[in-house]
Amino acid sequence: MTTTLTQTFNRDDIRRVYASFAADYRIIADWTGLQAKEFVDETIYQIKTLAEELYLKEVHIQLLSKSGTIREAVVYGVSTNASSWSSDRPGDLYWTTYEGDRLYVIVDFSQKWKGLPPATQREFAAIYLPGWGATSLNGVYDAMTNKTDRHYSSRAYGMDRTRYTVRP
Amino acid sequence: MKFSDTDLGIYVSNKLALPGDERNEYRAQVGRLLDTLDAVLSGDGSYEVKKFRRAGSLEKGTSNRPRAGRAVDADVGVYFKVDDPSNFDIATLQRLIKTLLIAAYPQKRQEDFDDSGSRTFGVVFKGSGLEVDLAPIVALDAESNYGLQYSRAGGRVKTSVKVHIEHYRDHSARDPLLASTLRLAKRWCYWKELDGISSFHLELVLSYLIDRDGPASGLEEGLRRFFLFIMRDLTRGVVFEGGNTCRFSDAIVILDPANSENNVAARVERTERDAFVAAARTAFETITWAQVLPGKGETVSLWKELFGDNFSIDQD
Repeated sequence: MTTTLTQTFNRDDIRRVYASFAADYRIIADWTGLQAKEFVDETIYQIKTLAEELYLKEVHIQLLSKSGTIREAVVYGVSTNASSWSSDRPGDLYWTTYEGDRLYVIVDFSQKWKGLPPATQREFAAIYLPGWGATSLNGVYDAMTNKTDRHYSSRAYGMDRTRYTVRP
Repeated sequence: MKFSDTDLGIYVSNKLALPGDERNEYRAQVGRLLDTLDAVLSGDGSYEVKKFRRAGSLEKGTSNRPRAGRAVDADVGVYFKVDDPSNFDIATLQRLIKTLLIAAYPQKRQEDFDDSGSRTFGVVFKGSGLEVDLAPIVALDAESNYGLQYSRAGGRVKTSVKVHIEHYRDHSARDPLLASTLRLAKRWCYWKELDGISSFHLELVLSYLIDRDGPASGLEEGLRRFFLFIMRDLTRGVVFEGGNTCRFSDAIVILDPANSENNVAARVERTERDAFVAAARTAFETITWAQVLPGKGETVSLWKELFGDNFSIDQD
């Protein structure tokens, strides 16, 4: 069954686009071996819930060194105006890792989420986002170069993928 | 969406695996051939054949259905007694096999015995729907457990058909999904036209993964970890029980479980290795994407990219 969310996309469009992000995330996790399959599956489910409720603005996947420096990152920006985008295939995210490296997933919330009453946010987070904490994204990629290399879309819903790498 | 083992099992059973009754018939055909050869041997002491050992996919029970118009392959090692293994002519043994076959089947035509293989000295005997490759092996012990196998290029390697069969059976006992995963890997390799990679290479990689990581959690995950290994870890080589890849400089190193001095993938060219790794990478990305797509139709479409249009999880 499909649910119409807007005139230009529905829940199936979100799921189809989200699948490309989820595939990328799983590829990164498997390739680096830095997160267990069960954790990845759970995280994919949690973020999917956010996406389907239109609470998602961005998802960040970061590879951090032992000292906390970001080695690599990829950011998925949600668009509800992606009708003109072509749709790429996920993949080609093969990061070199070193001992002590960690993988972080960070979500940034949409205006729709920010417009929710705090009690509703807390209730939702308690159910769907247990174990998540707050962090700041201000300036974290300032020392890195970036390139938007993929677009995932289904009708008007889309995600663009921007990769961040350390400047040579 | 993810496919269950039942879903993929339908594809393996209905489209890939050589049906059990056909396998039994082909094995019986090989048995009759070997009985006939034994009868010739017992009547003529001039052949120094010590033993026939069945080998390959038909013996292991991992044969896929042959392509249209093609025969099922069966492999047999013909173990010869040779006085001095370092000083004899392997071509003589090949001629002996051919002579033996002609003596056993005088009504057959010359072209039913093909000894023109470019890589080995085997003689291919063409039966009805079956091609039996009889390869000469110089026995190294009284029971013909180990032997020397020769290539046209002039090399010879110590190996053991017996150990290979036992190695497969040991691993398939530890991972009941090994046979199905191997059949899927073989089909993928064929569909992607990956030259230089044999089913034995695929079997050994899958066996190595069982040793390293334990049995696969499912067919789909077993395939994913196979593809991930090829793209990420193949350069480190595949070794069993104390082998060491350091002394080899070949494009792919897969050590023989019967002899760690023998790289069974030594003939694989660098371009073939690169194509293998690139195809594995595409396959890994494709299955990973297929797992999270919402619809069955789009998931099946992606699997068809890897296995061909005959891929189906529906009962016919």
